[in-house]
Amino acid sequence: MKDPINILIVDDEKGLLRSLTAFFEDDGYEVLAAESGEQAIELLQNNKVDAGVIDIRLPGIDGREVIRQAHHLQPHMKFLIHTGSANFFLTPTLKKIGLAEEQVYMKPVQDMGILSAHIQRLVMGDA
Amino acid sequence: MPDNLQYNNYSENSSINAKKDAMQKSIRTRLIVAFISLAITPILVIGTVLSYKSFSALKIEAVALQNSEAARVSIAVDDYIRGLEHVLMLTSQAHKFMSLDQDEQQAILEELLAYESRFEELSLLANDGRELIRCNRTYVVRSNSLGDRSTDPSFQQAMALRANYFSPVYFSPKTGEPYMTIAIPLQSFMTGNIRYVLIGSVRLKKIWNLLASISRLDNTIFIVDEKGNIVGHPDPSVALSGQQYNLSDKSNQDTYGLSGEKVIMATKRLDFGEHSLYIIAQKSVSKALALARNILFISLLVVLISLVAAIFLSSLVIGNIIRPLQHLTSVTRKIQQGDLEQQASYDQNDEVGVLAQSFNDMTQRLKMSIESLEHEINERQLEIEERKKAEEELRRLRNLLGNIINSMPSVIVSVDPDGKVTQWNQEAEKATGVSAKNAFGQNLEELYPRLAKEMEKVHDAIKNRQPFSQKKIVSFADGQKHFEDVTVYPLVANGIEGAVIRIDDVTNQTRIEEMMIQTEKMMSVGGLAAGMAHEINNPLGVMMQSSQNIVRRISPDLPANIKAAEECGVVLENVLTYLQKRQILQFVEDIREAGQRAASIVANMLQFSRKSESLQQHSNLAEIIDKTIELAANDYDLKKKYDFRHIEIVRHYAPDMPDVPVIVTELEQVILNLLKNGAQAMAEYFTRSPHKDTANAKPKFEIRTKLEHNWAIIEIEDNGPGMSRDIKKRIFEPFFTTKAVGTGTGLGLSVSFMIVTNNHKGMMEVESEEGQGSIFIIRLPL
Repeated sequence: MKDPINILIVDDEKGLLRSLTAFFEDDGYEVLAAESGEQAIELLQNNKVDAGVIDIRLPGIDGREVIRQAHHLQPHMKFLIHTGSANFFLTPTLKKIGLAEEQVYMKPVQDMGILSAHIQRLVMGDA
Repeated sequence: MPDNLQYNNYSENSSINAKKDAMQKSIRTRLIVAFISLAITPILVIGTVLSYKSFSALKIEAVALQNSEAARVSIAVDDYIRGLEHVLMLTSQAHKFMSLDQDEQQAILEELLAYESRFEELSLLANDGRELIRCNRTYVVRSNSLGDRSTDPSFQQAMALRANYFSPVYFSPKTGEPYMTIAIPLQSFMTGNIRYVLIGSVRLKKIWNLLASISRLDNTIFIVDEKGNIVGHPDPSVALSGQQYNLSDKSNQDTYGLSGEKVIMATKRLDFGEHSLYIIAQKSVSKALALARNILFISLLVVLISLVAAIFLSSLVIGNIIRPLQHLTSVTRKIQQGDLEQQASYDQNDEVGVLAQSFNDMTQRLKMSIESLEHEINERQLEIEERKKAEEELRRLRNLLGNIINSMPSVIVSVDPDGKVTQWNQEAEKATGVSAKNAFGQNLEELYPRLAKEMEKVHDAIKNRQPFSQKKIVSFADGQKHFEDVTVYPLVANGIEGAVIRIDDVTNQTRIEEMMIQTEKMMSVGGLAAGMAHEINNPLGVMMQSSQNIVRRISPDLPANIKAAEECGVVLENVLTYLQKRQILQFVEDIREAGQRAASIVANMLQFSRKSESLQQHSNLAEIIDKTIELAANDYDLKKKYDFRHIEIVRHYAPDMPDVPVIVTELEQVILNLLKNGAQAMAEYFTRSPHKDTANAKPKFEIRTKLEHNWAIIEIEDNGPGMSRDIKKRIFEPFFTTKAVGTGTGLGLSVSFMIVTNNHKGMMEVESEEGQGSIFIIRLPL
């Protein structure tokens, strides 16, 4: 058996966090769920994570900052951005970390299988 | 010589200079000629006179000399012959000769012959001609040789004349010498009878010596007798040769001498009884007049020297006279060439000096007056230039003004107080179709009927001198609403009465304004949507993702599901059957679908506020349209529901259309949307009610591209049902739809509108009448 992929899901919408967590667990991922940026950073400091599905608008530190710190803590980490904000755009910092437009998903995502497959691609491609 | 040098310099100049030189030369020549004439003429005259005088004097002198010579010789010859006569006379008388006896007589005669060598022979004849005594120098005379000489002409003549007789000269046949015979009759004192005749032969040769002693080289004196025989000559050979010298044709003094040359001659006649001798003194003319010739020669020499001296002096003097003139001329020439700084120099207070001085004064004054003239001309020039500039400026301004008025996008018309047109610009011509020429003097109301209502206000404005304006006056033309702004400015300046009327067609502007209002309305909707999007998208996500999880977690494919069912004591298949039986799965699917629709509405609304990040690319409109038509043909909905493939599509693409800056995907979306709407409308129209007009009418799109000024225009025309004015007004509003609920979001056209107006800064409008089809017009800036 191969080691399962560890992912971090950050979203302050509980319903979404729950459904994403359930879907990814059903797909065989090890899932860490955080309702805020701070919580996410804490989890990242204690756990090895391969990829993250990050919401941008968060109550405390926002998703961009989470990605920045996550990249700092675990540089190998891959990210998908999962945002509901119509005005979101990739900052130069995010681009530098390696994010591309295709890694940005606008809510609502009808088929979570797409996200799963993308993560699979990112992590496997990296390995 | 400096003069020549000057000439050489001048010769490089123009023909005027050449003329001047000629003139100068002629002055010089004339002066020299005059000078020389003055100097030479007296010399010539005096020389000529002197020469002539000396000639004639010398000639006279020469003639006188010859005369005196001739006289001298004649005296000598006379003395010679008379002396011998005298000797004979003395001899016959002094010694009582006649009384002596014959022997004594003979002795005396012999003695005389011995004593006087000039006698050749002496004879004493008796009065009957008997020869009594004869003594000869050369031979002894015997008494028996004495004969009768009564026939002797000398004897006869002496007897007849009773006086001394001289014979003509005769030449001795023996010696050829000349002789003369003198016969002297001896008379008795008592009776007076001739008793004897004494005859002596005289040797004339002795005279030759005399002649020789007198004659000089250039002077010939000789003697001829009456017959022209040369009797005596300094050169004995001439006398002896028996030459003749005919005196008869030698009357004048200039004649030819014995040797044939021209001579000056004098003649002296000596008479001896009946016979004569001529003494001729000759001198050759050339020799006689040698002195005169010398004088002539000297005179000529003097004249020549004087001539040379005169030429030299005159050129010196004339040069001195001419030089200041030449200087003056050269200065004049320089002044003529415009160099007024030239001054004529002069160092003498003579006439030329005075001329130079007054010339300088004149030049100075000329210079001054030229300077003042130039100054004046410059000022005048400046004035003229300024005036020209002013005129130019005026013309330019007039043109500019005309251009400005003509290029105004407004109708600009001016009228007099009676409302007659006085100014009519191009826009007015365009708006009315009446040319400015025809408009002048016409009533404005007639030319511009739309203004008829406003004419009263125009008159009021003129009367009250108050501008007046009225905005968006509505009129209908060509079935379309027109809006015009009318402004009336009364003219109050400089007594020009009247008014300027400006009419702006604001139809388009008004339409654009309406569109802007529309756009802004939608932008605010977009802003609202953007704010809402996040809040709505999260719950929608929860709804849809939860639905996905529900479906997945009841699926028997997931081992965790089976495991959980076992733990609960149920069989998963049964649960599934139950859910299907109670349509629970269907409800879940409905939730998902509803969420999806809501999500799509939100997504469309977000378009209104989205700042386009996509880059515009210069693209070929025709290609985009063709590609979109292709997309539409393959669209599932269009294919199945609206039978798109059976719609006739006519394309009119402008061939000169340049590439247009567009966001390709967005423009495709707009066109697809329009095609969809049109196809849908036509499908309903043609299926719902069989077409009134023609039974076999077919749905048709006409798609055109046009180039208009700086706009690229796309027109998509359908022959569908068209729309009422009310619908047309609201067609681009978000959520406005004429379709049955569920067939459209009501956002398609408004999104298209936003894409065109907001993202492309273009314009979008629709032209439609009910039952006439619709034309959607997209204008994109180039």
